[in-house]
Amino acid sequence: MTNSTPKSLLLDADAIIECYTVSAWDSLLQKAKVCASSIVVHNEAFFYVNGRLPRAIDLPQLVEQAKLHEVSADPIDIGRIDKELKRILPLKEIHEGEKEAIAIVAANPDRYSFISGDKAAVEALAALGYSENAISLARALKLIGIDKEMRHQFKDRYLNRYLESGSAIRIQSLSRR
Amino acid sequence: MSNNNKIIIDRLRTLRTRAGLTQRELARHAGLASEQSVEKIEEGTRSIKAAELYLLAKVLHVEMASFMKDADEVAPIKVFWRQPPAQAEAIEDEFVMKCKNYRRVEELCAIASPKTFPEYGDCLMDMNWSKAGEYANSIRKLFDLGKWPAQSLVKTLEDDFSVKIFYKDMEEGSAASTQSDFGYGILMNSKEAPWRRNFNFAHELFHLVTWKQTVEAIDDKSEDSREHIEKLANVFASNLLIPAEYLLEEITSRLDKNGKITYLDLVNLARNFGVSSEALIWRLVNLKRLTQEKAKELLHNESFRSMDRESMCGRWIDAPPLPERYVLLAYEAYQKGFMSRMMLADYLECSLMELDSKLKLFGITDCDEFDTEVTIA
Repeated sequence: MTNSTPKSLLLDADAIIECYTVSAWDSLLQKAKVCASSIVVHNEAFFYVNGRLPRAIDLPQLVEQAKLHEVSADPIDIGRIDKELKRILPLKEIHEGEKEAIAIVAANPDRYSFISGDKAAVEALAALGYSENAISLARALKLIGIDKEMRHQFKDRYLNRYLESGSAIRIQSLSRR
Repeated sequence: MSNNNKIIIDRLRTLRTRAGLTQRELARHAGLASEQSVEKIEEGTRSIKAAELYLLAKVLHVEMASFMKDADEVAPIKVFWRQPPAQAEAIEDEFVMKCKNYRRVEELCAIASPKTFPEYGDCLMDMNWSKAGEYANSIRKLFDLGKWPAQSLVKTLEDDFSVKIFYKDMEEGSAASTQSDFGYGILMNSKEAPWRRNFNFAHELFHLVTWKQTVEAIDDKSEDSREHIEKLANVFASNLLIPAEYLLEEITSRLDKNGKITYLDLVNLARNFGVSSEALIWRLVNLKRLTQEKAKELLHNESFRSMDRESMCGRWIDAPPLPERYVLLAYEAYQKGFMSRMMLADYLECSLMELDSKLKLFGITDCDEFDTEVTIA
């Protein structure tokens, strides 16, 4: 269910914060091709602490320095993802940045692995048929030789549980058509 | 230009105009890279990027998806103000967005559609002060508000009728109400004193229980109708919060053998009823227990005013930054996997990195446990 080799790693905001918190962010940027959706890159509001933006998570600056890659989806494609999610997961509310990430994966499934520690976002990804594009942060770091203790939301077991439930929802929705 | 892009541009222009912003102002507020960005997007000389649309949606208080809807799918929702501030439309859009978010967390937590208030059946324009008072009494009994209605009014509105109550610091304007698919909403100026807020809640409740006719009166744009409704709302509020039977019972118990009552007793009664001393005094005038002249004399009396001011110290309750019920429901939706953490931070209007601190303000420590379920036979 999870990729053994990371492609370009597309992280959501919480995964970026977790990586930063466990002091693996700089190493990850150096050793892998790390991407973030444009909405995450330009929504500094995610990362403020006491009104200040930690320099290490000044994502627009990291993009300028070519340490981080910004990827964007067409708003129309995000709208399609939104519509599809409302159809198959009406009781699910994920952020526009997460929808954009899913739209990016949907447009380029061979290029991106999505990293999120959020059950709602992971389930949504699986329900739309992109389980193969999910990878846990712990695994992604291990594959580049970084072993860090982190919250369980960013480990394989948690990821697999919600990929499974999302896939089940997908099967149900396909059988209803 | 594709039809979809045309729809986005038209929506952007409509919302920007409604918010009273120039193209440059909107670009600046949204933090776009260039102040000419909005101009070029509206001219159609360049396409809009997802991140820009997201930031514009935040400033204009709409969902990103609403940019791709036709105008008739997204007509503004009516909001009725006691005294509208400048740029009322922008505040209304923010308020309506919050009400929609509140209803969304209720849906995610499987809370059924809100109960509706009984709508006033007779003609509102025929209502006089006496009928307004009677109506207030019937609502007070229906809601079971008890002897000190202000003490339970807000909780009853929120818990029993899912009224979405938000507060905002406003330099002008007092309160507003609205009704739509999300149920009822009340916006309160957090700068007003708690007793002033209580009166406004009762006043707004009148508008909500007469909503259909109130909206018709606003639509007619008749100043006389509006003025009449506002006066009825004040009479309603006064009767609701200061029930005659209880006020007179309390007054009687405090009279000395000469039929006099101390300033302190009057001030304390106002605090107990959760209203301003002014509201209490005028209520006594309405109940013919005090003459108008005596009321005016009292309200200008320095000793009385000084006692009134001192009684307020220590009783000032700050308005909550967000409704507690809303925060608890949003957290529940997140914990159950119906809402992502990024979305929760958005709903709670805080940074993702500060989310845990924000939750702690409401007594919530984010539970990190993996297996949090048990089978019940």
